This record gives sequence, C-alpha cells and structure tokens, in this order.
Amino acid sequence: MAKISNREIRQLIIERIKTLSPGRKISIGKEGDFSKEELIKHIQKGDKIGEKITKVQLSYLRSMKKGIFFNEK
Amino acid sequence: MKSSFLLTRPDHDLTTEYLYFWSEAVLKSSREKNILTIDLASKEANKRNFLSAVKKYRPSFVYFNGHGSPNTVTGFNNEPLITFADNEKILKDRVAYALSCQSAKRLGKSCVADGARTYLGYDEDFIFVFDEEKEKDPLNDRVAENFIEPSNTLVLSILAGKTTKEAYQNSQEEFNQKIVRFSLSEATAEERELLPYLLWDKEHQVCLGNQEAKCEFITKEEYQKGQKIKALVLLALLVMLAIGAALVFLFK
Repeated sequence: MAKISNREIRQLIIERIKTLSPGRKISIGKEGDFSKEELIKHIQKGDKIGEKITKVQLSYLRSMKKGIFFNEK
Repeated sequence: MKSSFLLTRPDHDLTTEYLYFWSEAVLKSSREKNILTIDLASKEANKRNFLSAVKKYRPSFVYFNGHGSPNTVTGFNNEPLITFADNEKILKDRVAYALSCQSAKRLGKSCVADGARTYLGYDEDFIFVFDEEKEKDPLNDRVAENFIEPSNTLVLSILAGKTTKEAYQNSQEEFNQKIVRFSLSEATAEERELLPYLLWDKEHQVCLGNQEAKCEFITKEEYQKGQKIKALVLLALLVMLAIGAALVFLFK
C-alpha cells in the first residue's frame, strides 16, 4: 500500500476542520482560541498550532482504526 | 489530618475565564459541604497569595485552574505559581489537580517525587471547543460543558471523599460516556465533531502517585474553633510566663 505523504495528511486534516460548525472555536491553552479559518491557515503553514491540531485529529483517526470505542479493543 | 481546600482561578483571558466560571459548580459543592475553602480568584490568584495561603491553611487538596506547561502552572497574567525545580515541595503531603496544559508531563512527576500524595492533571494540552456566541456567558455554553464537566467530576469526587483513583476513574467514565454517545449513529454532526478533542483530553488525563489517597476536609466552624483553642493556649502560656517572671522578681 502506498504511503500517504505529509501533504496528503495535511489536506485530509484541513477537510476535517472545514466541517467544524459555524460559530465554534477551539481553545488550545495559552496558545489561544482559533476559528475554523484560522486553524486551516495554521495547518497550511505547518506551524506549532497546525501540528498540534493535526496530531489531535490523527490520534482520533488512529483510535477509530484500532476500534477503541465501545470497548472494542 | 483534616484540612482545607484551596483553588486558584485566574480570569485574564478567554480560556481562563471559562475555567473561572465553570469552577463555580465546585465552589457550590464545597460551600454546601461547609468545607473551609480558600478561593484565590481573578487577580488574587498570584504567587504571593498562593504561597501564603498554603502556609496558613495547609490545604489537603489544591485545585489549579490556569495555563500550564511541562514545567509550570500559572495564575493571573500567567504568573507561575508552582515551577519545576523551584517550589514543588509546597505540595508535599497534598493532593493536587491541575486543569491546565501539560503540567503532568514533568512538573507533576517532580511534585510526586518531592512528596505530593497525588498529582492529577494532563500530560498534553487541555483542548476544548466552545460556542463563540457564549463567550460572554460561559456557564450557558453547552458545547464547552462537554469538556469541563468531566474535569469537575474529578474535583467533586475528591470533595466527596473518594480516593484519587476513584476520582480519576469517575472523570474518565464521564469522558467515555460522552465519547460513546457522540459516536452513535443518532449523534448530530455538531456532537461528532467534538470527538477528537474529547478523546484527546481523556487520553492525556493522568493520575500520578498514590492512587488510594483521600482528602478529609475541615469545616469553617472546626477551623475557627481550632484557632480559638490555639489563641487560648497561647494566652495561657503568656500568663504562665508572666506569673513565672513575677515570682522570680518577688523572690529574688
């Protein structure tokens, strides 16, 4: 199976962030709070905030793959 | 030994404002239980007040709300209250819970190594989603509620006399219930989009040190009575000293 590139991962996370409901923001401790549009910019830049959100989303996707919900593990 | 409950809750930015308001539920419970509670709120949540309150009231449970890092937990305007390789000993013989980012990664471990009974917190950022329209009314933000309630459950469990392990498990269970509910097919898209962040907070919440530690709390009346007895004992000692000095003077 072909390995997914960082660019593809970034695009996947951006697509997921795009689905965030309007009017919702995400607080990331002292880094501040971010709207959907701001998060997308950070992910595109690949900065600290962008990497953090990518890590959170990937961690969730990996958990889904492992089936950790409903005590499937 | 029975002792007090101390909490810090600065409110200098939006994130800390949310934590400030949501800790009201905890305060309500401690008031109902008549627990001697030291509430370092807003500007009062500074290092000088914190150190002085710990020295004076010797709390058995310290609950921090504020920003954090692997090395520190901060108060108002991000002033460090407790810092790695500086003043971790202040938590010796106490249970601490930090609703802050990353402090369990290094500081929490160091606090336990330096004698804290238990350190509960997060070894990564505590992230929450909120409704922009409720920024000025955080207590009515039903989105943020999903993230802060499991944290409050932990604190309420300790105030109710549960062990640190039970408090941690209760909080984890509350995260689990929300994660399962929002994963079901009948969950709305608005609920499902909270899942990555709920799972993140749940997985990075940790309980370090003594898992069986329990806190016993003193009531305001018991504290006041203790203070009166201390004052009377001191007065009696002074009187005895004065009598002794007078007798020495008379028989000299």
